[in-house]
Amino acid sequence: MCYAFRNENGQLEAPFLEYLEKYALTDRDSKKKKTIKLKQLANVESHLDYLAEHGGRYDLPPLAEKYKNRNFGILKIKESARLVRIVFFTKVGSKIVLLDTMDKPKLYEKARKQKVDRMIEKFLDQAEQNRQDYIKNNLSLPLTRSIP
Amino acid sequence: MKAKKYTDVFAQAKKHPQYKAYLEESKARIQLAEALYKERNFQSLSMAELAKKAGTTPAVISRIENAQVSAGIDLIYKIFKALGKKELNLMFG
Repeated sequence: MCYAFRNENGQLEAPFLEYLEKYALTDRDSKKKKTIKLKQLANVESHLDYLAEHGGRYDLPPLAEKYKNRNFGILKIKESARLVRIVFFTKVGSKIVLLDTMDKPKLYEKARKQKVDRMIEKFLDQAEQNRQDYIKNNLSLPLTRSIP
Repeated sequence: MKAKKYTDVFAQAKKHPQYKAYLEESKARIQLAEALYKERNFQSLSMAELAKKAGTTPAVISRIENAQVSAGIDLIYKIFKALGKKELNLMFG
């Protein structure tokens, strides 16, 4: 399930579902674009299945692990050298809660390192806030309509 | 409680004739990644050491262990030989 919060319109909004919207197929997509979206989405789904099959464990290196000094896990979905998705998740009881996702940029040109590190830190703080918010309010949305 | 409207991207993708094949390929990459990572660590080999034995590069080993690439059968065979495996067991389920 996906962590959710109530937005300014009073609707439930889920950062992970928000992220997945970029894989929605549209009539404007070329055949090539559709294929890329489908392949990348299949990669995301297979990694999520892998995590679910292992009960959301934090010790599934190199794909999933507990993030250093944080209270949540990260699932790494590598697409290429240029695209690494990091899915932040936590386990509450038997539930795996997907907190948020980020596309980790390819550094590491020295000049950009500080900027990228700051950006990652911001995502980590947000994931931690989402986790605490979930524990407090227990709001979530299912990953798909068919699989709650 | 009202929820923002999201596209059910997985349901949408499943309607595409190729999606199932993409999903299976990706799952196979994860299976290989897990098997290779576990065996390499069991043998206490670094990526560089295994790569040298298999005649490839640490970057290639890393990409396989991260389920990032579909490795060809020749490369898989070389890596498993380098790990001291005498035969490659294939399971069709």
